[in-house]
Amino acid sequence: MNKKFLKPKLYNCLFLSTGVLFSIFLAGRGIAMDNKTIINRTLNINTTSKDASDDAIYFASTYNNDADVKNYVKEVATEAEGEGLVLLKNENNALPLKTNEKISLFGASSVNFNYNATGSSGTDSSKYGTLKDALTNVGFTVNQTLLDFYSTGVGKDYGRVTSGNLYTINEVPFDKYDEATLNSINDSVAIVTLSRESGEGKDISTARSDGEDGSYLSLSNQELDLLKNLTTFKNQNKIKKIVVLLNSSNMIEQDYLYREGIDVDAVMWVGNVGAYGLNGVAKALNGDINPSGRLSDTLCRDNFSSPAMANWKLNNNKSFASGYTNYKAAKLDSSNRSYGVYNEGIYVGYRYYETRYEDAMLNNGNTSEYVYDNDVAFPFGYGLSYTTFDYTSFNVTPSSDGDSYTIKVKVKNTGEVKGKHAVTIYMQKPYTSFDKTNGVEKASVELAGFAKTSEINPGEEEEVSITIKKSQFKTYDSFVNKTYILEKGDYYLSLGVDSHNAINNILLNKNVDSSKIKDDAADKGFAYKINIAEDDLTTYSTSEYTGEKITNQLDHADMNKYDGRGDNSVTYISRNDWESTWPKSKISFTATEKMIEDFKPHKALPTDGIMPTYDSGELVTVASLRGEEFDSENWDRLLNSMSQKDQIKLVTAGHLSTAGISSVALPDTTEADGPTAVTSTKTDSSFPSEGIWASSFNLELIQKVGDAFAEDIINSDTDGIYAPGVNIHRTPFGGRSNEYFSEDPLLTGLAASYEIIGLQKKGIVTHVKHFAFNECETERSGIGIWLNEQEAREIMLLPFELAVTVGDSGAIMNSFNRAGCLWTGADKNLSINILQKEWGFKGYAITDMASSNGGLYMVYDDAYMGGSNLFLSSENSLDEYKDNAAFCEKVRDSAHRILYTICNKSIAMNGLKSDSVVLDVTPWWEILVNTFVITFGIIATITLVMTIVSEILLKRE
Amino acid sequence: MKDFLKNKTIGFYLSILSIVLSIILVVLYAIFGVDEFAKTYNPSIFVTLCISIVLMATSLFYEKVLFREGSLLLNLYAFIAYFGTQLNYVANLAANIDGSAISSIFIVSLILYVFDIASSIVSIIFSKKKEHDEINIYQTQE
Repeated sequence: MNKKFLKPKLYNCLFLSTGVLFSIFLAGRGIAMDNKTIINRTLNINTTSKDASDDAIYFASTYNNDADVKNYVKEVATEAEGEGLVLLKNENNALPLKTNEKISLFGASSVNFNYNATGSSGTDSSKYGTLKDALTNVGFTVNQTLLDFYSTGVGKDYGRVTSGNLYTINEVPFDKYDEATLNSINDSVAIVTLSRESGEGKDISTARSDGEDGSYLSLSNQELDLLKNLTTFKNQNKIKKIVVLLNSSNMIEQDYLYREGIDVDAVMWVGNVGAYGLNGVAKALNGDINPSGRLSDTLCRDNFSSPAMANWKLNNNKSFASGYTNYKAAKLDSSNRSYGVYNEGIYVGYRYYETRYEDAMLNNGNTSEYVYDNDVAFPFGYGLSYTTFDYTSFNVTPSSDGDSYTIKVKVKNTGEVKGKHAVTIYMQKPYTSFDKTNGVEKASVELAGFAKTSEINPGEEEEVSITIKKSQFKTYDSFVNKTYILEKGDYYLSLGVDSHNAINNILLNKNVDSSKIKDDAADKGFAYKINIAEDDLTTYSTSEYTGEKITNQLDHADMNKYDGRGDNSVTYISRNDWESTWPKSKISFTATEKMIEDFKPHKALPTDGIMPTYDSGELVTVASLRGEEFDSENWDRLLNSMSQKDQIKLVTAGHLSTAGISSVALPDTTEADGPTAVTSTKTDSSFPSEGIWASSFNLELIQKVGDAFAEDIINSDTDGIYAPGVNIHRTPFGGRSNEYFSEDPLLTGLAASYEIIGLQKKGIVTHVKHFAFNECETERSGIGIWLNEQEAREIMLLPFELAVTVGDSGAIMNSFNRAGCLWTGADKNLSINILQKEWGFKGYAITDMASSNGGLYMVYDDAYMGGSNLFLSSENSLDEYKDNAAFCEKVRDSAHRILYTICNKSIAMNGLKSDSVVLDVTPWWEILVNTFVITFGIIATITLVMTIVSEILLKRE
Repeated sequence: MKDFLKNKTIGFYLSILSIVLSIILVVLYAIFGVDEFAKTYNPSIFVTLCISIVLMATSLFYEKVLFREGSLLLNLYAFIAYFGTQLNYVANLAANIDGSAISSIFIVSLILYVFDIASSIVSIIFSKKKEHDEINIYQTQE
């Protein structure tokens, strides 16, 4: 060999450099292939391409460019905020303000308004309009000196802080305001913004924050000082009035309104406002919008006054979560060592306050000295207007078959400006001796129906009609009949302006001393009594949707019924004896051997079952089955034609997408978070918090929100949305209140249903979340939730039931937590027996973010066997399980559900006819990485050989 | 033993350090490799680290720089593969979804990998610095 080619040093350098690159690309390729679904979604790459036809447009969007979509979303979001914000106090008609009014904006949040929450609805709010912008746009003059103080002066060092799991208010101390700043506020109206953050992954701080009582939702001393000093200024005629904006999706404690030295003129709850909501707020302040929102949550004077919070107070750090006493000895890990107890039973929110109030008024249930006003500042359903309304001609008519009641009432605008009005009907079921004996609970009032008027001119009236189904009177008895029952006794339908007024109307029918009722609006005539003469133990014991027999399914989540409870037990609140059942000590659980066994993932797979047919050779396309019944044998033909590999791909590759399968001409779909904003928005849009939509009590408007949301989603090249969130505002401290509607399950369920209708009409598949019992965020990855079945069915599950029956949601998302010891995504009683068999759900259930969380318990085998159908994760081969016939049957059922949903509900089907072709596409990054690996591998090998050969040859010479 | 250690280069001692670090990394991965974010072991990490240890150990007796280079490449692969197993954890940290704290095992492993790779590199460099004869450049000690 020519000596000039013998360059071992050169070859070695080449070997080392290409070897390094080979190692990097080879290892990187492994990572990339394990996460290819995620990479494709992140790079917005489809793995199929479709032969689209203009003749097959199943869903059409109305707008087709960013500007038009943005304008439409802005219009609807502004309307939603304007109709959902709630006017809580308006002394001496302090509002609306005159348009030429000078306004001084107080509070560090005045220049840092809270637009949305962190987590799945988080968006970049830096481009959103400010409070000042919104106010000046409607004609107000805003005090710039004060704004400068907050944005560039001393005040800039203050404002909301989130550090780890701790939220703090960090308001500017009053002694930091300089004289020039305070002089600038003369003759102005003071608008004080009280803002609170919230978000995914952590609950609101109940302790260690700088709120007066250590919680984040009480006012800090600095905020109280500010209000006191402003009151002094008002008394000195330095400022004209004080208006407070409650800028939070979590309910801020209202104790400050009762404080000596604080005299606020007006209070308005505006929630989180999203990108455009401030325009609605400004219009409400100047009177362009007449507030008609009604509280979707009770607004407390004492946020710790509910039975749920009484329980939290007894836990370490006032936390929702506790650890099993023996978690170390039992070697429990972060996915199973924590638990939370829903000790309140059905007494969530106003159901507790109004029931205890009624019992106190009637001297029932050992209420002790209960003072309603010490707990509640503004009841559920409360809300003021710039006008007044009267009710006339209230009447209730039973239907001829006795299955429903129609309530009619005329609403007359008796004020001087036009406005809308929400009519709300509450029901009361009898609390019978059977209930008292057997642990069945009944709330004094429950929202039963509602409707919103159109805008009524002064002096004019509008008749409103609301139908209540008799089935709404049913109660779940988990003890004796173990199903829904309808008990004999007196039922009431009450036309109440809020929950408290509703119970007062009923109380007047129970011959309570009317002088004890401090409610000018209470009227005996607005409560209608219905006597049911006989118990009915059969009619409601079968599903109205499927005919499936309904019986206890959640005994394993009720510690008092769970067969492995050992010495553990829960005392649930009972109106039969409030004092005795009130939490007095921490509810401590010890993990028993049965519980430890139940925690374990990878339950034994069945050994029976018939291996499904694969690769039948028949060509059946998904588009050819549009409109086919779910149980049609044509779906079997299609599933038989698929390969096992394709079915597995379809059920595992669900990271913000569903996989395209060319063999059945199924296109890729793309999904996005979250409930109040599509995170991939191209228009920088977001909506106000869901609680604001709910408090509009306007289902037509909420459907319109769904429609506008759909337009923004379609404009973002997305086909599905991980929304709506329908968990319950169980306490004021839930971390994701922004994404959930209300403390009331009917309002939550109906609001979600109409949003879903709006979204799915445009072909956006909704994924209702988080199923189920994910009311809190603390330790959510695997926390065991313990609750009784009556609360589960009547409060926590009802919104999901409505979302999949009334709303017909195409998909549902499981939660991270457990029901008792079982992860909800693997709980077949919940996800199969209730969701599929009782409610007739034909869509698919996706896990929560399995790829970034909870890998110890969110496992494939348990999930598919337990009713989950799709993993929010990257593709997996499922090699360990694919020879098990029972498992493969579940995978096939899951594939069926995904295919059925996309086929009939997804805009991704647009353009596909029966004979259309969908082709596989290899992503460009995959080709590139493979090329690098092969190239560097070859060069490294050659240079290694050359190095060795050169050295040997040189040595010989 | 004295004879064996006589006239050894810095590269020799760094090779020993690299072996020790690799052994610790194998043990750490065996104990902590499966957690709530990584459901299964990545066998290639065990394989590459073990081969790397063997190559580096061989270089102690037969100081061919190619053994050290091979060990370096395998350590590099193991490091990236380990990071891949922790990707979900890192993503969780980055997104601050659950307020997860940084795991000490993760930090320790990262530091050990960096030192392991660094010691491999330096051992290669110092192996070469001892050589003046091009012919013997790939055999640091005769």
